[in-house]
Amino acid sequence: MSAVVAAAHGEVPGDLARLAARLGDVHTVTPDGTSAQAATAIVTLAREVGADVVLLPVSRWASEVGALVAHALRAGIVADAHTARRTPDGVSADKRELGGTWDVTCDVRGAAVVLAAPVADDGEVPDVVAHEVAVPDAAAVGRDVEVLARTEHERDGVALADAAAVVAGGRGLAGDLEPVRALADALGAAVGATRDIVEEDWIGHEAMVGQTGTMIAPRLYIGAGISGAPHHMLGMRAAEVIVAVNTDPDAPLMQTADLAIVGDAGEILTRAAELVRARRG
Amino acid sequence: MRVVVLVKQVPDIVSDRRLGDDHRLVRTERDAVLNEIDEGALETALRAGDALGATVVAVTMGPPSAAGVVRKALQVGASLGVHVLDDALAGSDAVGTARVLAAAVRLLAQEEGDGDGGVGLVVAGMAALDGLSSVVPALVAAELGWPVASFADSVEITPGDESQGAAVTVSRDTDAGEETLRATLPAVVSVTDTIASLRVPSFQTMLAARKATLRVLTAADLGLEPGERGGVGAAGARAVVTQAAPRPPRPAPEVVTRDGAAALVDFLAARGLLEVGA
Repeated sequence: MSAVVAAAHGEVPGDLARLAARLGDVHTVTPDGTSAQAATAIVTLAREVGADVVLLPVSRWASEVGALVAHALRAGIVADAHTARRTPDGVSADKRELGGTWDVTCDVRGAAVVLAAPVADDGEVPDVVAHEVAVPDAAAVGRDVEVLARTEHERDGVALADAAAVVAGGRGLAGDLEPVRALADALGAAVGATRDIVEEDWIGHEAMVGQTGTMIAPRLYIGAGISGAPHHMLGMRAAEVIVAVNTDPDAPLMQTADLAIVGDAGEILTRAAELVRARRG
Repeated sequence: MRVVVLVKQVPDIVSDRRLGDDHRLVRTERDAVLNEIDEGALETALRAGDALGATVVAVTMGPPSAAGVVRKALQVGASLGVHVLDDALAGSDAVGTARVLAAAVRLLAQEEGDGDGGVGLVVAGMAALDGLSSVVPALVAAELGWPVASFADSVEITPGDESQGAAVTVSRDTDAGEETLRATLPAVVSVTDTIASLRVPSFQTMLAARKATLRVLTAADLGLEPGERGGVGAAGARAVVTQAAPRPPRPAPEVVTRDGAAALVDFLAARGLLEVGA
């Protein structure tokens, strides 16, 4: 069976490893350093193990690293794929386009770099060969950026990208995110936010769900006081079950939801958090 | 020295966007707008041009209707507009598109002379709202062999002097953390939608734009060979869309207007989702 490299910053998520296992023997790596250094390490590993497919989870880091890997391996690149399979001469991947309104299949011939969208599943993590790699030195990388400062994100509560449940807040909460935190806490969910309220500094950038924030695919997404701008919807449309709470029944997110609750988001979430606690004991 | 800004025409996000029988995005003059994030890229390029004493060149690749976004760049102060227009390049994938754009940058650098410093900086938006693939800026950098800093929330230019060359300092926030990166020029940066608002065109720049010529370049002008060998155009694409279909609309939501909290918790219990995050 052919080999596949699954790479990520920090940790290779379970859904990425599962997708990789469908394409070949999985070799995982979590390279450090600049994007160019990480790409060089991935390319070296791919050549070593004879992998013709490199999988990365959709993220800002992966866009940069994936592009550099694709260039070095002379590979085609598919972004935002939610599933992929082998074809006689490469890989075929399914993705959504135009704000999730179209199903598209993209075929890559030859080597492939696949940026995989998060998928709401929680199956077994397959057997993988985990590789430790050294950060390649400058000579192996070529002209590169110099890192003047780097602060890794502190993980406060449940991490957004891999959370099974997300409670997200928007402008409709009028500056008070306590109800979102209370319900997230009661459910063991991660806290998310719209770009609007991140720009208003109600909460940090790490909570932003959307095209320029974190792409999520939880089993449960609850959006409170969120109208559903395209930016946000692109980031959460892969959620399995969508609940929206908003005073405006015509808001796009309410129209997209499985359950649309008309009312004051702050009050309803605060009360729901109490009820969840009571039920869960 | 020149600063190149890559701009893209996309269908208005509120228009009825669709894929055609060839599985490519249907682009019409009527719905065409400048990719929203590219406005910040344009502003960043204009400021970098000021800081470096460089002229700003706006480059786009696309069908005839794409000329509009280059004209817009000229109206706010870009000195030259370049439109890569060639039917043989239609259907290029991300890798091919980057190859074309990099070739345009190389040509612009060569004409400016000044060795490798003919183009000091390439600025692009972090993503195109029509395709979500934010890989093109880094692919362009890889083609050119230049360092890349994508997803910049701020861009600062340090002009060069006798002791050191010009550099760009970028701050950004990615899943790798909050970073400050520095690259000596020439370099490629892509910017997020928070970077800067595009200036309003002035009377002078509007007037200059009217007189400015929009330069049209073909694959041959760029020394590119469409097809499998050259890696550009539909036949050169390594990634090809083979199927495209609109998704069925989602079923109408269950709407609750009273006792929202109880309804929410009952719904979660019924779907077995009360313990989902446990």
